[in-house]
Amino acid sequence: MSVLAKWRESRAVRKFMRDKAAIASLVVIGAYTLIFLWTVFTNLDADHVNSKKPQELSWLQQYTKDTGEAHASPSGKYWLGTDRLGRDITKRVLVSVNVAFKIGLVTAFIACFIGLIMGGLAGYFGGWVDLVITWIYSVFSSIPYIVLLLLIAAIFRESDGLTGLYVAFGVSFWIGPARVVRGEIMKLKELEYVQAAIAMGNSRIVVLFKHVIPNTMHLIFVYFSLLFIGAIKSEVILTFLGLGVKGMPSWGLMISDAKAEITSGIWGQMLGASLALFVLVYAFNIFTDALQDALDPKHQ
Amino acid sequence: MWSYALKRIVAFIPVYIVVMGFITYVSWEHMNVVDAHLDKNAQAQERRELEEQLGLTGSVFLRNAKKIWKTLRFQFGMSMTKNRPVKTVLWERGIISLTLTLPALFLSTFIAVVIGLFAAYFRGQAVDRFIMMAATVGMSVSFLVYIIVFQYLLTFKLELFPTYGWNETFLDSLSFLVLPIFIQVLVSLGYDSRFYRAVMVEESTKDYITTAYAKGVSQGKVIFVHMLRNALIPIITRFFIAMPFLFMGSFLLEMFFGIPGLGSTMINALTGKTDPPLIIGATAVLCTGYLIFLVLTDILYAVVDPRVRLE
Repeated sequence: MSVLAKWRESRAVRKFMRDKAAIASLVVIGAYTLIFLWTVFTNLDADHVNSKKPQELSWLQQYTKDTGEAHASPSGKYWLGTDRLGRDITKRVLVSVNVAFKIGLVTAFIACFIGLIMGGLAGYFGGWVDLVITWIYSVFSSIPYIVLLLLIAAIFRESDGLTGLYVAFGVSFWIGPARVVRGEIMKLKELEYVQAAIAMGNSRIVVLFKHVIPNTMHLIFVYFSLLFIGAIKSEVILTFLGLGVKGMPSWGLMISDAKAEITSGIWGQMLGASLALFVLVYAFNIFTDALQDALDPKHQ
Repeated sequence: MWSYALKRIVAFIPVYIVVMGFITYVSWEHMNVVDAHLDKNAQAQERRELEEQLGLTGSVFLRNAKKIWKTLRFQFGMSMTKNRPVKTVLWERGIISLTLTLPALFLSTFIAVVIGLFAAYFRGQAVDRFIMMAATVGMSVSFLVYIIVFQYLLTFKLELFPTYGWNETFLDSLSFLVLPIFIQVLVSLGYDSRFYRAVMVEESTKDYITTAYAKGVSQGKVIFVHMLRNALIPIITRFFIAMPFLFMGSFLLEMFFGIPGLGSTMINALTGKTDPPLIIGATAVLCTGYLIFLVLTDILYAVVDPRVRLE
């Protein structure tokens, strides 16, 4: 059978497809991904946002520029109204998907990658490698998550862009996957087929990559999903504290602006940003649940 | 067992040293301390004076080594923003944070366990599915949204609670605590009840439950006596792991509701006028607390589960 057919027939996928809520969540995530791809291909670039010459206004700026109607009420023209600078809120909500996805994807990838390597090395080679890596792990996990995040974000406070957030999240989030991968590999190491493969003369490294790591991928997938959302939620809070995203519109920025507006009865921005965020997070939570159920070997 | 505990404590010491060294270094060298505490029109001379005063002159290695050595001896010095000893600030504000987080932890654990028990008991039925859906929804809403919405509704619109502030004595401040505690419990409920439900479900699949039912034990007794007792380990672990962070408080809630707790103080020390001694002191407390509670939890495991003792 072709690889695709094999994959389709696999137990995990079949189980996943049986869960209607899971399919719905996948559709929603797909919709957001399409919006993200749309923002990517129409060249939304943070660097252009701060450019001053009118001719150099990026597509982003033109799309979200001041319409001259600050705080307009929701209407047919502006579905959610405009914010205090007259920018169309609906458009800003959509554009924020760009930042959200960038942060989610990059940091989840970095954290899972580092976690896989660290956990893999520690679990597989044991001995002093394990000791060193476990010790590093202890160091990172005994600094309270928020303090680590804030410290690193504060270091990068001066610089624009998302690099600071990438580093902060990558450094804080890798310990989750690492711990889990290490545990799993320590179990897998003892299984007979691994020992047989080594006994047959395959190098230990080859066995690691060919047999052991693929069997930890189900854990990595779940963590990727969890960290994607974790990063987005944390970005919202960091931006609120003034440490997160600056130039680009993001839901965190919108919610933090909306806080002041809500006492004047202006609810458009609050509703738009929090709803967009909520739907994405909720869809991902359902997706992760279904993923865990589908991939859990105990549920055969 | 005590040798086990001792071994764990000893293993953590190098961890603590590295963590505090790192924090000390970063807080003093990478947070623009000098800029934050100078006037806008400061001259180079004043700059140099301040640097000397703060101990930021000389070789990078030496000055940090000195500072780290001080930190490790738990000498945190004076807070630069509050002009009082760091230890005093930590203690006073930490207690204030505790008045929010401790009741919240008790309440949310209690309620979430009950909900989890309930859902696990009716596992698979409509009640369970509804509870789980509600929990997932609750979990998906951003903390910020909870705060903003409830603060708006209950303090501004309906004027049921005071919006902001704190009074001198604790008893006077009770009314300021109700809403924050309520929000904290609400936020934790989603995640916690799912977790405790999973724990209960896991327990209910075990053989001893079937045996108990077969023996004719009543449903109530099976759930509340047998299942709960065995599910205690994860529950207690969770409770204990949360403990060291209670001291720091929920910084978002403190900021929004004007509660002068350790959390908001920390945030200000990190984002506003940077205050390295305070940052270092608070991290030291948290780190020590975390490590201590880690060891305590292990010991507790050994007490609750006899099988662990034999390892």
